[in-house]
Amino acid sequence: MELSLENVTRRFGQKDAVAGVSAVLKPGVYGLLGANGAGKTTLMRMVCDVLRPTSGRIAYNGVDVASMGEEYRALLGYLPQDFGYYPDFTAMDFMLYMAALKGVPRRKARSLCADLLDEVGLADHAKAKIRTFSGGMKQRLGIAQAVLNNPEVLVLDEPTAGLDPKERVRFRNLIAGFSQDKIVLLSTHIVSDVEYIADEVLLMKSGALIMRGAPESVVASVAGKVWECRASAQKAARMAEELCASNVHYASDGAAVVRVVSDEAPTEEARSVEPTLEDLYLYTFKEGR
Amino acid sequence: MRTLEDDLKAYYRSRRVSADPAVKAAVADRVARECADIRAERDVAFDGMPLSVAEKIRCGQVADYAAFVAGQARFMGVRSWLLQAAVVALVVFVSWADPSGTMGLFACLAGAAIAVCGLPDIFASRMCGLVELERSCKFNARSVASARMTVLACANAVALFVSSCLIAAEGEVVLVVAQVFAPYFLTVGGCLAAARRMGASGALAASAAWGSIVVAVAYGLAIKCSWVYEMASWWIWGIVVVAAAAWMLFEARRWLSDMRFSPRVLAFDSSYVNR
Repeated sequence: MELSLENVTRRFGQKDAVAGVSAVLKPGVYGLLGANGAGKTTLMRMVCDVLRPTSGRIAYNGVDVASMGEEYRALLGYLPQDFGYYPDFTAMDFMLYMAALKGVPRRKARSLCADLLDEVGLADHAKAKIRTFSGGMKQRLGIAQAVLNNPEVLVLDEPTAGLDPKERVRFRNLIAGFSQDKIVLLSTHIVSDVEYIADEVLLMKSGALIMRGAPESVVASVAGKVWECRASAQKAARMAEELCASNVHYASDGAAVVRVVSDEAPTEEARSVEPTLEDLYLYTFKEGR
Repeated sequence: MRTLEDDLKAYYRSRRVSADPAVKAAVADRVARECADIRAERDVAFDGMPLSVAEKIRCGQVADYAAFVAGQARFMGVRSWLLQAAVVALVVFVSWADPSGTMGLFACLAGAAIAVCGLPDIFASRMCGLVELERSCKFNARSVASARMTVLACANAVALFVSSCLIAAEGEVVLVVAQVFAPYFLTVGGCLAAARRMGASGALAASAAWGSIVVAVAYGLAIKCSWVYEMASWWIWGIVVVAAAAWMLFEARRWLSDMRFSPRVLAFDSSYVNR
């Protein structure tokens, strides 16, 4: 199983939202990281056949997905960043509707939907109207519909947005349990989600794929560029403004401990520390880069 | 040094359950048996000749799509059907209650009103922000829109034909049918054209406005140019029906194309959904 993106570009007017992205995805979890406007959502929409590329192609096992049409979409599961629902629908109505769209046989749909609602912790709310749901409940419903047809390719756009920490852990467990022999592509601003469950990280900036690799290897690219130093509160505030400070906390003696991502040591006393994915994110996407 | 993050990563990796080869083989066997059963069901001999592979696939796809279209009727609002029934009942009642009234006017009002009743179901995917999700499904947003148009067209045709038969005087059924379908086609075509040019939340309002214009023009014609509804102008109605139908089909095709490809229809107003 292989999903290949071959020089994929999507243009809106004069602007390239996605510019010449090429990648081959095999079974595993891929975390797509990027700032707002990097092109993550546009790329995911093209993978899900919601938008067509302006140029380039996306192929599944060597066959252009545009020509595969419904055969490809039958293998897909997609959770958009923001999705709506018919106001009068209950959770079960919505799941049955999505089951019909995904071609799940009617005789199997009801039991499958009930099982999935139970899996995401919404069994008790199956007959409740979706408009009464909290944000986290809607996200869980969205995840349930995304896996309804046991997809080969699962695309999740900001799946943990609006979830509290307990729900985010539950989501990670769901994805970890699901991702065997599947291609899972998820985008998020919450770096820790990617760090814990992704096999590979894809960094996007200004529509282009700028870096790719296992979390440990991409993080290694900022080795020697992450520093910790102690400073007074005033100096810490100045450093936070002038440099790329990923964290400032105060020690018991009142001194500020500043974590900075920078090519050079910010002070003579600064010591190099082990980088994290969040440091890489800040280093890559800080203003002026 | 082993950190909490390393432990968490190892935990999540351990949650990925490896498939038992025996279970995998059993599932593969079961799928193969089910596929063989489906193929056997579709292996219909026609004139003694078995269907080709392409024909079998096409028959299967047609059967799937037909089932999908029928299924869409389940998800369309009850309100739409009740409104249509109410419009038919009202028009028939008014025409019976006022036999001196202009039959053609009643027919035009019926056509325009029934067209407007069904439009919320056509626009629902867009207004409620489901287009993006639907596009990624096997039966995508265009399939949903075309299925709903098919269901509504069939239901509307029956309702309009029944209305025509009930309000027409003897020997004037054909003319009344033309007078019913002309504004129906004009209303649907104009509502689709207006809705395509509006944002998600404005589509329904634009359609209602166009429907009102059609009704106002029909009423104005009844007051000022009642000869338009007379038998002598049956050829005008024939031309209007054909032209209106052509425009409606053109706009319907563009609507379906937008539902499939246009990025503009992906935006929606969440306040409409959460009302």
